[in-house]
Amino acid sequence: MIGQPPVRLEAHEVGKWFGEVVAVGNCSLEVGRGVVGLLGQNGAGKTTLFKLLAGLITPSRGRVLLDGHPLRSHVGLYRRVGFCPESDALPGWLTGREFLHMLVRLAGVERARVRGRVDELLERFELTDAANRRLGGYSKGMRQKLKLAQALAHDPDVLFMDEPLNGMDPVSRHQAIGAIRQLGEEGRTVLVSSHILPEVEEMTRRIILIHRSKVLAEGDVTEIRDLIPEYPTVVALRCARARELAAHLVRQEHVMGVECEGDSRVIVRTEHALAFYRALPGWLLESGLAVEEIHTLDDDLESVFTYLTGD
Amino acid sequence: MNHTTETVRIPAPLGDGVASLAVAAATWRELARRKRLLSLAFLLMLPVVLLLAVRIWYPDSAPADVLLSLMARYAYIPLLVPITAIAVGAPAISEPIAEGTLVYFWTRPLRRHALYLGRVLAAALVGGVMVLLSQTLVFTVALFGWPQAIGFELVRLHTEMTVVTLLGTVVYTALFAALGAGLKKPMIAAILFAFLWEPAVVDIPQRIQEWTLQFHLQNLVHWPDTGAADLRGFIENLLNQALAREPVPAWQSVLVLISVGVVTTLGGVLLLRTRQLDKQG
Repeated sequence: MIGQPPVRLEAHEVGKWFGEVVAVGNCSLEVGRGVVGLLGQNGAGKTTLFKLLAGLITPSRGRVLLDGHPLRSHVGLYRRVGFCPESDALPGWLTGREFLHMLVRLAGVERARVRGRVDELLERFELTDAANRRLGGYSKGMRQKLKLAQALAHDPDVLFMDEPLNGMDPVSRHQAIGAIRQLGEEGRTVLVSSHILPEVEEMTRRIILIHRSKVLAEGDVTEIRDLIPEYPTVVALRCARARELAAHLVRQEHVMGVECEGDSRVIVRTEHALAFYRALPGWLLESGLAVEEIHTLDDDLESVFTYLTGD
Repeated sequence: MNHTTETVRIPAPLGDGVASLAVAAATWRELARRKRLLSLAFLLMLPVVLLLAVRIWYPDSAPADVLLSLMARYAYIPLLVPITAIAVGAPAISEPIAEGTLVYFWTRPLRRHALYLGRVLAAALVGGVMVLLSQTLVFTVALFGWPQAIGFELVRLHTEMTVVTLLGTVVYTALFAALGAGLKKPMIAAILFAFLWEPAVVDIPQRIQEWTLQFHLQNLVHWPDTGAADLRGFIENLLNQALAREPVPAWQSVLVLISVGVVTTLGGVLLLRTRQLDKQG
């Protein structure tokens, strides 16, 4: 990806409705390089937003642009796009190799390079042994791998992955998470839709949270967590002189409450976690106390999700 | 949010020829392996078996040219060609939509018409090959016991009938594929068209019969040159009286058939271009 211009995926006031049902209402967002998790409960509008962004459906209002152009009406842009659908549907009468061969060719890979690329993908996703079997006989995990393989067939800059880990065994799941993180680190734009929060958390800290057809939050999980005033962030500190530390912290700005748990653990509630973390080293120097461990208890994705959606 | 509008050069889509051929090659494999093709092959063997029975038990009943003509007019055109087109044409576009596999084509840099043409081309080829094999076998069996019939005229008649039935297969396939681009259950619409509309309308005089594909295909089938007194003349007269057909010039039928093929293909492409992938997949 080095040397390639960054991909810019934008949605401007996008809405989609089917009859009187609003699936997505007035969403604006921008996705750049790296992995971004698209999160939402069932029926929140996640899948519709995903399809809008990937150009599979046209918005009822607003615009979706990839590098300044509507993806749906400029199909050449799909040379830069890989798509891994949620559905397990595959043309069951083709073999794995034939399926990949067709899609690698259709992605614009030169004829002379197609066979080699197909072999590479089969090898990378451990499907070489099953390459000549018809897709109708593939297990769910194998289908998932094949779907990922075809999405990466042409080395795309931007990847849409709808529930990419569904049906994978733990080892494959672990490998896939690593591979997705690596794609983001390489500078690609990877949009991952999922409802399994810990999995998304392993891939990225950047999320788009959609709830009741609207984008509720967008950005880094910690930053988003910091913007939820109704639920102060809970930070645990391990310190040999816990009571002294508690007494010192309770007087500081951004600290809403302090309590001691045993002799070596202090629990702090702060309304502004980032400011708290910035100021903490100064307070420690000032007090001459040493902290062995700092751990935020509720800035994980699940907490943020629960606080924001109220569910 | 920064709503910049700076644009980047758009990559070119895949060439239509390359895209259509790649789609057609994969679709060919896919269609040729479907189980329904076995049923179709069995059905297309029926005229061969029937002719074989005629040749074994009634060896002197009819000359080869009359049998070929009868088969083309009353077995292939009204029955076997539409059935073949229903089996391969109706699912060509509708099946990937219904199954959710269209998304793999949709997210590739190929234009919608290239995808459509590739799939319809493969369907027409599969159907055409099946009909061609069946007709070749019919031709071979029709010659049993009538080796003296082999000549330029018979070969010309066979070629003409083959071309007409292949044209019929292509046109019906194009029509049923277009139904698949617009309807959720194109098979039902195709069956109603082929076996309700066509038989009901094809024998209505005063040019109404021209509103069927069957009429134009049958209009193109040449009857062997016969005297009214012999068996061939008898059959011809009998059928013409019974069916009340009013022939039109051959060029007119060819024009109508080609127009139907072109218009339905364009319609199908337009339907596919406006299609949205509501179904997940």
